[in-house]
Amino acid sequence: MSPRSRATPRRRVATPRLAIAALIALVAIAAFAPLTAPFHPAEQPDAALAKNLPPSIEHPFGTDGYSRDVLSRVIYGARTSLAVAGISVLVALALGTAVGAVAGFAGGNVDRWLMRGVDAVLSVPRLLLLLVIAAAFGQLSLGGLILVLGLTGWPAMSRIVRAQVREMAALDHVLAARALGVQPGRILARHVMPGVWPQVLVAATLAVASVIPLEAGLSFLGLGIPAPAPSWGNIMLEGYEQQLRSWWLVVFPGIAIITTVLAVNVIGERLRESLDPRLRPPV
Amino acid sequence: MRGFILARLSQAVVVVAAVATLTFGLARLAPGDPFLAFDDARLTEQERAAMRKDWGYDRPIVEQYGRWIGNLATGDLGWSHSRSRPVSEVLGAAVPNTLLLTLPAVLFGLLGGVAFGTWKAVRRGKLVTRAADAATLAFVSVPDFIVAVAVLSIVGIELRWLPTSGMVDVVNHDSMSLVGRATDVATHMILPVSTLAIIIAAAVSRYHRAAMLGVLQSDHLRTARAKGASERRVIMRHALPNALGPVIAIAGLLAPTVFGGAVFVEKVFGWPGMGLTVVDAVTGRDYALVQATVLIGTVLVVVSAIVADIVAVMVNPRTRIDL
Amino acid sequence: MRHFLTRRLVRRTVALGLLGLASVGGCDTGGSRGGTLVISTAGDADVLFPPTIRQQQSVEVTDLLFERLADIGPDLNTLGDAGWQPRLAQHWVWAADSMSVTFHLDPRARWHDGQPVRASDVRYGYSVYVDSAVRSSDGRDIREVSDSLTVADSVTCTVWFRQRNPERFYRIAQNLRALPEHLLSGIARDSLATSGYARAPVGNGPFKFVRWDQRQRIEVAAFDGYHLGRPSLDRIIWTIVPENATAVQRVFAGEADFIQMLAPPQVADAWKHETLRAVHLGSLGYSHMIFNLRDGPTNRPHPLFSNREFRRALTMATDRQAVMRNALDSLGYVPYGPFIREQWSADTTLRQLPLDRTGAERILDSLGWRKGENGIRQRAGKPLRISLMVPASSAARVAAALVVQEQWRQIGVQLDIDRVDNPTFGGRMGGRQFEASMAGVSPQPSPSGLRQNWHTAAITMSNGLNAGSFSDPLVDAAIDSAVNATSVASARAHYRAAYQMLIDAAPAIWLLEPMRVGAVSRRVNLGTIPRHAWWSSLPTWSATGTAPGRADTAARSP
Repeated sequence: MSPRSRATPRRRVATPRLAIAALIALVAIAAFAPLTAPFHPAEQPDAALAKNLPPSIEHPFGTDGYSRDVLSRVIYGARTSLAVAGISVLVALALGTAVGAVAGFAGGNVDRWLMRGVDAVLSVPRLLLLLVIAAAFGQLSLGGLILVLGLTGWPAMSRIVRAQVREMAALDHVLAARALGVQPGRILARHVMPGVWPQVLVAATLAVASVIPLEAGLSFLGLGIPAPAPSWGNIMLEGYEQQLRSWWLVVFPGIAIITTVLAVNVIGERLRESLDPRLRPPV
Repeated sequence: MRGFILARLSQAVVVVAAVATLTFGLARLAPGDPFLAFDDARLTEQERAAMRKDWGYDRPIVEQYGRWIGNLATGDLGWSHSRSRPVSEVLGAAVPNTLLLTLPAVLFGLLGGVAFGTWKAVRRGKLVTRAADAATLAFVSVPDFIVAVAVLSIVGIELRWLPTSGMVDVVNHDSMSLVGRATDVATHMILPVSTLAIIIAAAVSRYHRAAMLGVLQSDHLRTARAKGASERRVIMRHALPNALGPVIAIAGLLAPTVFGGAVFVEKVFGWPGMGLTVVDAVTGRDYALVQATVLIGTVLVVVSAIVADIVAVMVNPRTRIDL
Repeated sequence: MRHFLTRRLVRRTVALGLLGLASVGGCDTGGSRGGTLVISTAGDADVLFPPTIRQQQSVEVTDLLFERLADIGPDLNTLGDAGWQPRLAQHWVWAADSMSVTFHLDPRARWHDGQPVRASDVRYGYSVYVDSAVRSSDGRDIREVSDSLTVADSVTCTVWFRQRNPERFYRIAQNLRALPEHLLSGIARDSLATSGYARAPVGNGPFKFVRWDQRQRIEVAAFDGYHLGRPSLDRIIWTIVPENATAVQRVFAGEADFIQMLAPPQVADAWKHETLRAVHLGSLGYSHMIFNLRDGPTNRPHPLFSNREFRRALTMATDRQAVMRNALDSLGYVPYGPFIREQWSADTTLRQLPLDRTGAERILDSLGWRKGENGIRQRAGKPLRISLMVPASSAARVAAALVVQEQWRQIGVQLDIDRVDNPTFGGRMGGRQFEASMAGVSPQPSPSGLRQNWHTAAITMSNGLNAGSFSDPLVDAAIDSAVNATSVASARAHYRAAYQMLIDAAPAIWLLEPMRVGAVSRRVNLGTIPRHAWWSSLPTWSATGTAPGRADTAARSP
């Protein structure tokens, strides 16, 4: 599924291209962190005299309160933040698709009860739920955090899948297949899901864009990724705790978060527009 | 309509009960308890154990749950150990403060978002609106806490135009006249409320723009135009009401987002509301307070969703409600 | 190296010099009566009921609302009653056998509702403190040294001791407060702490309670009828914000007059600030990295830390100066041992383990820990890894942990830092579920807390805090002799012996002794600040000019 498969005007393709390039560059830098980062993220060259240095040639993003190189921490932090976002969305996607597909395809009471459950979970503000869970497990490990973000992300996903599945299930050829007694699983896989995936892809992209700030926010509240492992959120927290005195601790990871989320949002947005012609501006 | 409201309400009760149980379970999974959070090195294990017993935290979890539900039924929310007062008193202060923060923010956010979204939809394709679309997208990509910290550090600390934290001027508030006190609170509200309102407006404007675009291309608008109505009239009388229904329904779904934003805004601006309360309660392992805050937070979210649905139906009876 | 050292010394000297200046300059410049002091703080109180207080913020407020019978002198002596100042009691008389002391209350003393403070109120207070249903930590101290308190007439009461503890006067005078029987007698003892009184108390101190809006402000006002003379400030308001950073920012923005704790870079800012100055407010306690000599889950001797040589090697590999400097900059010291400089038993001549990385590596080599490929030592295929629990809320301790981590990496020891929140920290310390822990100790003026921390009996006794299960009969004997010594000289000698043995046995590494430096508006005149509790001097502070507030801020902004 490509956003360009339905002819979109030329000028509008330029933006996602930039966003995609930015995202690929970011993922590459993060993936090859040991090569791209000038220092080890935990290395303290001189904890007394080289701490809180403003940006310089040697440390382009400055150093933090332990003389660690902020650029290296932002790069390693990208690894953490992107991995957390990516994997947790996959978890949410798997669960949400399963529940949404079953509810939408089965209909009737199954649908009613599943969606009521989804509504229940959706009624609790996600941040509130995350706070309670974070408290319940003390300090969450990286894996725990991913799981928790995934487990609180699926209900929204399942609603989208369900709506789409219901729409597809009402199509003539699906009804015909049902009438012919084709196995439900087969219908779902062959006739329904192919029409659902594009929407799921859009939803997943936008979910990534909402999980990154969420993770950063949790770290900002001191409940996210445990230090000393770097993440964008906890680098910023350190800067905030220093009363924004070392602006580079807030500004650089902040730019990293905003750039990433913006890139993902732009891509998701274009995908959505390409699926929904009404959203396209007149040419 | 009445059947619809009743159905929504009964659904809400089930939801709230489920959430109450879920929160209770989660809170009790926590290692530690309220007495471990006491910042007193001289307190011994034996004394902590005695306190656990005093307050029934040593009982089987099912019994604790039963007692909690029983007390809830009589309106007793329990005792907050981190604050040493009844939970109802803690929330009695915090809930109105949060409403004072969020209701104006939602109002201004909706108005601003609808106006901005309408403008972007009507003038779509122009350079300014494309820039505005991009700017909105960029803005919703900024985490709430960064928005709050930025507003605080630019407007509050650098320019020093407005008070940066708290609800009142603690020195002079008590000696002020009634009008003076109201002005005092209002001045303290400006920064947190506008921060939250901007966050809401950005999100609403995107939904509303999409809804408007859909309506603007619909057949009955074409009919209206064909009848020779002015473009302004077409938009104000025909397009807007049709687009407004879904937006209001979405506003109900935005309640969790508003609450999430409020947590950060309250933390950064020192606004003593539910967001701060829940963060405090969580770090203090104050079970009773965590449970009650989540419960009331959920009730507020559920109620605002119902209100939004009802208003949406009233604004535009054709809005399809999918139960 | 030399250059480096000098630079450090200069920096230290400058900081200290400036601080010294502040406390001298702060001494009474003849401030006028009246005025409001606004204190910025990040912590709220829990209760304002003296027997059950847990939070530091509550201590600060209730010490102004409730008077003690007598107050500790400027030398912080805790043996006998030398140096103690009259407060609620005008004077006191020891019985011939020194097993009881009779307090004669000041007849002018009044409760804030105007009722006189009677000896029966002291008796009532005593009965509340010692009642186990009240769950008072102070009450435990009182119960331990005394049997009862009897009343002779309305202004005379006698405390009967049960043991010849040299600190028995301190235990009573420091911990016991009179409580207003006429207001409280109708309330069951075990519900006093949860009653409305605990949130809006009527006391007998220099300030009376005005209001408390949770997480927003606490306000007290001068009590005109205070028997030792009305304080000069009219009002004190604590304005409470959720975060330290915000609390400091309020003082710098002129929205508050005083904050009791600044981070090192903020101290420099305070000096540059036109309306603020930095003030030294005494010490806070110390932090140490404590080793658990028992293996948490099995309770068998810990495979690493039960070995004295291993513990000494880790101490020798730790550059404590560097750790302290990173965490506290010039606002602290490396502790000499398990005590702070302010305590009378402090001894600066103790023999320290040397900083000797090669020596440490030699010991680790000899214990069979060989450096592996990745630089981490191994023995029988097991890497040398230690898990260190650190409370995430303490920036200084987290900083110290990170620096130690890097230092130990250089000798092939991998330190895994486990940041936990406060309740988890408290729970795991109490349950001894940790390997190493970056713990803080806030000592009382009395050095006898050493017993709770390091005596063998403290592993099992009810108020024991010996979290590392350290046990050494020689240390026990020295501590017992020190605690029971009746003369200062003999107590000092025994404390010294115990300290030295502890340093040599290295059951912990003593890392940080922070100085408390706050910022105060120049319009405020401070009295002489006692080293153990700065807030107890608040009644002698005065303020000129207008208090911070909206009208004022508006006038100042361009």
